Amino acid sequence: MERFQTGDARALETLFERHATGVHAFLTRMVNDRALADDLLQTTFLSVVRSADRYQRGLKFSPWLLTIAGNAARDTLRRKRMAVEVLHDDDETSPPEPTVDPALSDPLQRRRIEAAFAQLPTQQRECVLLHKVEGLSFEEIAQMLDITSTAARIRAHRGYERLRELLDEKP
Amino acid sequence: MTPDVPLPPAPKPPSAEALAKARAAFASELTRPRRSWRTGVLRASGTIVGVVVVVAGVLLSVGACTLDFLSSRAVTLAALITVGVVTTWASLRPRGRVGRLVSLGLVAAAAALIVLMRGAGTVSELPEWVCTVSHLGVGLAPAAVAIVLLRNMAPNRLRAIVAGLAAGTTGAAVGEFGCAQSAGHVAVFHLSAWVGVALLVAFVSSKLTPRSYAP
Repeated sequence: MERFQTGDARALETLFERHATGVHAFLTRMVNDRALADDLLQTTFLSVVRSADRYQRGLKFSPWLLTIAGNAARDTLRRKRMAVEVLHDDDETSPPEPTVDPALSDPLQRRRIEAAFAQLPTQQRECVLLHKVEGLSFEEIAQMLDITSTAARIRAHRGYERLRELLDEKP
Repeated sequence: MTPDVPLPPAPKPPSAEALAKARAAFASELTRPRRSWRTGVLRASGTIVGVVVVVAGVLLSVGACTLDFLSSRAVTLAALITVGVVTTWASLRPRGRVGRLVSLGLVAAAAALIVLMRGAGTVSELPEWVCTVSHLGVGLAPAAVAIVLLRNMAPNRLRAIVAGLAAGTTGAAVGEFGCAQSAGHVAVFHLSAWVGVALLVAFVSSKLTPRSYAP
């Protein structure tokens, strides 16, 4: 990112190649809509170009990029007042996707988890994703979201509790 | 430690089409000129100071204000201009939540100062709300600049209110040399305009789609 800040446009292509897939996965889980995640991926990298000077040297690039993606996703959901729907994959013939949990090879279980996750409030979903999927500490999440680390911890744990409740409910 | 809660499976990677679209978008953006947030601070601060200087010049030239009266308000004027510039910087800088909270304290201190430094004052022939309306009027240009600059960063209510309060210092400063009424008048009719500009900036900026979501 520092190379891009000093005017090396090719550095942006390198950043895009390195981070686009991860950011897209984060966005897809945030908004539960692949087409919207595609648009938000574009918005995220446009924001990087437009606000390169807002990146503070010495900080890790990945959390900064995820902050932008999270801001874009939250704002878009707020504006659209979108009821997050369970993601329906049109391509039934595609091979099974890699999962974070072997138990998810059961399609019904997978749908239940997707549905439960989609019911989490946006702020809790974001903290759970950043903590569990991206592996960030609560201190890093707090810095990204401009909140205290206690608030980040509370949001994530409320998200985990809510997920457990939803998954414990009978289908 | 990460709680043992299952998450949905990893989504499919983005399509080649989506990647190509994103690449084309940022490649096109690279050709456009970019302005630093520091330039934005200079533009916003310059607008606040510029409007105050222009209004002071007009009032002096038409005889609605004297140099003696202006210099008698030098302390509060200097405080308001300083708070306006510092608050502008706090509102536009990356991250800096603590700085924005501190700048709210500075605004409160400046508001207390302009009320407490005002004595019994004189009675004006004009209705008191004229001050409120004129302060809102002179605050419009700095408010517009703040709204434009806020579009270049992620939406944030605290940031928008602080930017609005910075724009509102313009009217408060004009009230220091354009009005000689009492402390009570300042507390009601000047401070309400200041808050009004802040709320206007926060409201309008919340309705506009940002150009960037960078913190």
